[in-house]
Amino acid sequence: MKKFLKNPVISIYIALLILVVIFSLMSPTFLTVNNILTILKQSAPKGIMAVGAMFVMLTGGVDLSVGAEVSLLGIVMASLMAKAGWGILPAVLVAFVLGAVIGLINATLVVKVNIPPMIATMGTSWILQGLSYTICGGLPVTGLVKGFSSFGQGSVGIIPIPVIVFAIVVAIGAFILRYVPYGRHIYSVGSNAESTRLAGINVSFVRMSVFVICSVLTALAAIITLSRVNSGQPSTGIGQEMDVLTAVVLGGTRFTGGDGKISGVVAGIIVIGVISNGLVMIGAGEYIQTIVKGLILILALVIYTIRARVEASAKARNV
Amino acid sequence: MANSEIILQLQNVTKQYPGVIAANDVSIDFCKGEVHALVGENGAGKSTLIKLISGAIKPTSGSIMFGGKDLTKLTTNEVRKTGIEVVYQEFNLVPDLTVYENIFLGDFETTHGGLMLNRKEMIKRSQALFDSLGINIDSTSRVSDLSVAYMQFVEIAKAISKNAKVLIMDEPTAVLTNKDVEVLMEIVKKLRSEGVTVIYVSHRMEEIFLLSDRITIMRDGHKITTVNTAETDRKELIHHMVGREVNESYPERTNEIGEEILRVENLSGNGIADVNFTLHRGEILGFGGLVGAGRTETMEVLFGRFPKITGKTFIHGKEVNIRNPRDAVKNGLAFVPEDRKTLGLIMDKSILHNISIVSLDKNAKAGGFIVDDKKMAELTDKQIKDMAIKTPSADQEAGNLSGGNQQKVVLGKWLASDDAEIYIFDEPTRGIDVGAKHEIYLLMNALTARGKAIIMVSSEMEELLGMSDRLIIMSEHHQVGSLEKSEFDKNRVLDIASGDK
Repeated sequence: MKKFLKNPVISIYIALLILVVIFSLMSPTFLTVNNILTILKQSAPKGIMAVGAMFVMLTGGVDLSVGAEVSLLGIVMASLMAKAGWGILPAVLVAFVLGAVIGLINATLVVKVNIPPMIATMGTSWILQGLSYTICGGLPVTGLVKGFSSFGQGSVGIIPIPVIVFAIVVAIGAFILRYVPYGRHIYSVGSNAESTRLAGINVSFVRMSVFVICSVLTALAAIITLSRVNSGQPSTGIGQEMDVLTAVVLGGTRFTGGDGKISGVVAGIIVIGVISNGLVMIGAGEYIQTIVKGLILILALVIYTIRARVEASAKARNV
Repeated sequence: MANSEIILQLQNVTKQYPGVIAANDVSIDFCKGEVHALVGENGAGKSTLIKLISGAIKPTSGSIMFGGKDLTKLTTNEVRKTGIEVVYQEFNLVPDLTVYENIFLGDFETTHGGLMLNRKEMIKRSQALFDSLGINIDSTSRVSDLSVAYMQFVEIAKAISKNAKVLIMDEPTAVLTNKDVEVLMEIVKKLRSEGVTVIYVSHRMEEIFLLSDRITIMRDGHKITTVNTAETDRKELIHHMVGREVNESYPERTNEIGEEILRVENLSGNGIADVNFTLHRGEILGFGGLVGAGRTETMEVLFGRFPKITGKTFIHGKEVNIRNPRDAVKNGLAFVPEDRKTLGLIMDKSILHNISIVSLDKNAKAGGFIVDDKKMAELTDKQIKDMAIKTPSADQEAGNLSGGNQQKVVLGKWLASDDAEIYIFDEPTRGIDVGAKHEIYLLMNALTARGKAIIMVSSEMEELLGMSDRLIIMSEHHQVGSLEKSEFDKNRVLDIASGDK
């Protein structure tokens, strides 16, 4: 049990396996190629956001505005295309630029103004969500440019395009954390920002940049989401930040920063996807899903706390 | 011993961890009203003994008898109730509360059947406590406003207020200046005269000899021997502690002092003002003064940790603007801070990670884009070998190393990059045992022999006088004097540091 707890990545994959077995036993259509691909496709946008959210958490921050950002950027793009007659490319570019700006605002509030990240991004979250309702008057925006949906709904062979994009983001994220000096600095900052600063590292830059990365990846997720649904819904992103946060913590990322692996976060997001899908398959309603997700977030933090305690006592024994 | 009634008795106590025996068949008798020093190198088992006595850990075998009870059967709280208090190195004070609130924390005096706090009574009683100890402290001041020394005194007062019969002090003077050490020693003597047994853990030889009645020496989990302080000397003690002869004097230096490398004019900020000095190639410039005199603060401004208000810094005669640590590093400064655990190291990361941190970007491949893992491993291994860092591998977490080895890792990150010309050492040997201290001195000398310059802040007089080529002395946040090597004299330094010219 202790070893099991010690390696968060292995333990989350074991949990995933157990979930798959349970749902397959309960629903004959759960473990089919089609359904697995559906789960992956549905998980992909949140997975992309989770990579960004993980970067933020590795530095000791947290970004709760990603859900609202998905709502706002979806509405902005949909409005530009359906109402202003813009093409796909300029609308998508605007989404990326807006994403970067939102990231910069969060970064400034947290790093320069020194507001605790949870509060700062909760504030921006409300603003973004309010803006998305304001822009569309609360109504869905339909009539997007033809061909836009082929991005989110298309596939290469049997693999959905969103899943491919997710895989690429994961690969790049893993590469940065493992091989790029910047990735090493992210871990250092999360473990001990002041030590890192005194070693001559630009800690402010690291702490700010992860918010921008997170928001730009969220813009990518917003584009995929809009393309998949093919209409702008002002409430699309509501609650998504909780799924993302749960996946990141469930995947073994240390809540206070400095430790975590992308492979764990990938498993975390798939666990969330499997649970959502599996609950539907066995006929549990949407309301039950919300309860279950809350329970998982708490469970993830309980495991995290126990693990921290096990590590601490192991260390105490070493002294 | 005037009074040799045994009050606390360790009988064949063994504490075994997987792979390590932290205490091996240790038997010690502590007498009523004695000051009993516990000495040994880091990792010798002193902390284990303290934890065993306080009930924080349970022995694998053996018993600890106190007042007819076996402490090993009791919980920490029950042990405290029997009259054993520990003052740890890390303070257990609540910084936002007042002194008296801290003293009565968990045991507040109340009126109206527990509804209201009886502030008057608590203030009165804590003030009486401080008066009886001869400590000048206002019990209504907030703990966070106190100096480190006074926090220590509050800790002690808190322990005494519980009517402790045995008081264990874990390196109480590690953070104190000589002046405060004297106050502390008076307190300990007072306690002894009142029949309290004081178990005193310390690295400082001087006070052990001034203060203790008996000394127990630990090494590698074994009790080596217990001696009467009057019947032993420094040399014998160190011999027992280390198990070999150690030269306690300062290593011979063959540095040549060269041209000016750093000049600081009118530096102020971070609470300090009017600091002026020059530093030369191959030189060790010592910074002396009492704790709180502003030496660390000066270094922090110099290194850009905190902003300066006024002042100019010249490196090689050229003015540089150091706004943050990054600028400092770019200009060839390296900082080995006093608080190495929170400012020098990333404790939960490997030695490799810690030593690489400064040189990571510089050595990256593909235009600075990819970490050169092989090069970093080589650089780290070289530091481990050159400095004889005791570790099974470079992957060991920094937090698992002993104090001396941790200090070497902090130094190693600067040496691995080797861009620095000016090294700032703030209390380089604090909390480090005798053997490792000597190694740190040798490393400092090796730096000056290579033409590097060192600024050393130290509260250990011997170290300050033994290692420095020149001294700057600070008092109450100002530079108040400087001494050339020929003028070095302990009393003179103390005079200047305490404000008398």
